[in-house]
Amino acid sequence: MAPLKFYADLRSQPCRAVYLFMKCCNIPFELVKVDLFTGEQLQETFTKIHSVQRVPVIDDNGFILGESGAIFRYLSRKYSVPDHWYPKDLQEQSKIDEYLNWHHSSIRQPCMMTFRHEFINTVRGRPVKEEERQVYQLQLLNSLRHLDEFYLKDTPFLNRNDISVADFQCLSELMQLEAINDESMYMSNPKLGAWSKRVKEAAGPHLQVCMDEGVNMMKSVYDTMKKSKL
Amino acid sequence: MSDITLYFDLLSQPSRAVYLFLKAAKIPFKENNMDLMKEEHKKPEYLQINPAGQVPAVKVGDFCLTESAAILKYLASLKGKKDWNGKTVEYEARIDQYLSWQQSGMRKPCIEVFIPTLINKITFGLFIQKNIDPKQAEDAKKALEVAICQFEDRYLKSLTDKKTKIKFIGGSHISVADILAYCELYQLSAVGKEGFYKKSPAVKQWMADVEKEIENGGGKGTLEKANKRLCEVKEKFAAADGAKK
Repeated sequence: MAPLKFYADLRSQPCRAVYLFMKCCNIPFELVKVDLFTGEQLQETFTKIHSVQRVPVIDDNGFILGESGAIFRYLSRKYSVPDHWYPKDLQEQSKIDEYLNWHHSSIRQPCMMTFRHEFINTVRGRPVKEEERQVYQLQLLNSLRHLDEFYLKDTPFLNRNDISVADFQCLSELMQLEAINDESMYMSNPKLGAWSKRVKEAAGPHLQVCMDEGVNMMKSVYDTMKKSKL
Repeated sequence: MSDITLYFDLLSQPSRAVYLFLKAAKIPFKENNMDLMKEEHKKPEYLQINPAGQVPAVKVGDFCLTESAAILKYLASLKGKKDWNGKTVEYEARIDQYLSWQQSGMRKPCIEVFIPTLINKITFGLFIQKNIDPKQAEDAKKALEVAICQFEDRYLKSLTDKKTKIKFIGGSHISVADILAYCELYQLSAVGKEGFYKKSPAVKQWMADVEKEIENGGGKGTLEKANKRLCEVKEKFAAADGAKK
């Protein structure tokens, strides 16, 4: 069986999460880059593979699967990865499902909107609408407080004592803020700062690939535009 | 006496989904019926169960769980109804794919049609009456049409052959994803927008098949009971809609 194909752009948060997971579990894959910034996901060659026109997507010897949450679970089952990533114990597993579900509207949505609003307007030379930015930031701050008080209430990782796919999903989203120099939003919280350090350590050298081919590529474009306006 | 307590409000689509799943799968449970309009989800006793202050939530013994997709999968596994989570590895993955996609892919576009249409005519709890913005309405309409097309293309077609239709997201067996998708779409009927899901013969047939499974499992009248609160909203909306014409 050939290694699975992983259609991804490491500038995308869920792509990074799946990448880190597969690397840490030694799951063999072939990375097929899809350039989101040129809209490659909207072109016919990619749409034929996945009509929803989003990454990440895997092609496991003809079986096509999208959505990072589904990919984590499918690969955990298929490759018998260490149990802590997505435990078989029903209650423990459901607590990870609980985070992954909450993540979409509470972390991804406001974090993505905070990033997009600042990044796209700056790169295109348009003014950042302060009122709109504050709405997204407030939503994100409320969610970060919930991370602190609920998901990290008594545990070093999200809802548990060991790292899981939930931690990679969350960190991959929050690290997008580094591209717009806004990482203090979560790093300034002592509990979140300590948690992110633990997750980054667990990611090992693979984190740097995510930075080089993802976050830092966007950061250099953003910083250049910001300097040119001064 | 059941060990499961469900905290829910049938006005909420994900609440209705968990309620209907438990009924259709014949899993006994204690009902803790809450009223979102009276902000019962913000009261201290409920925040002990779900600090995020949202419905639905379940309590099984001392174990509390929130988020509908997590609850549905957990209860199906707990009570020996694993077929509802997918009969094969591939269908299990397909169901997980839907549950991950559904927040931004289905729920958001449905809500962005439902709420503005509703409050264009009436005040609904904390949502104060507000005249609809025609441009936003047009954008929301297009986004929902795209979502339903993607749903049909991605979830109601065979895993191996795009030309073959399948009965449910879970293949031949209904799944927790089908119930969640059904409840999200059905909400549109309260504001006269059922045309969105009735337009495609495949989606219309799928809705009817889901309803049949629910009634088979939960007994005749299960849907009528589950949709009662939504029907009350539908009547208020229709009355206001008629009065303003």
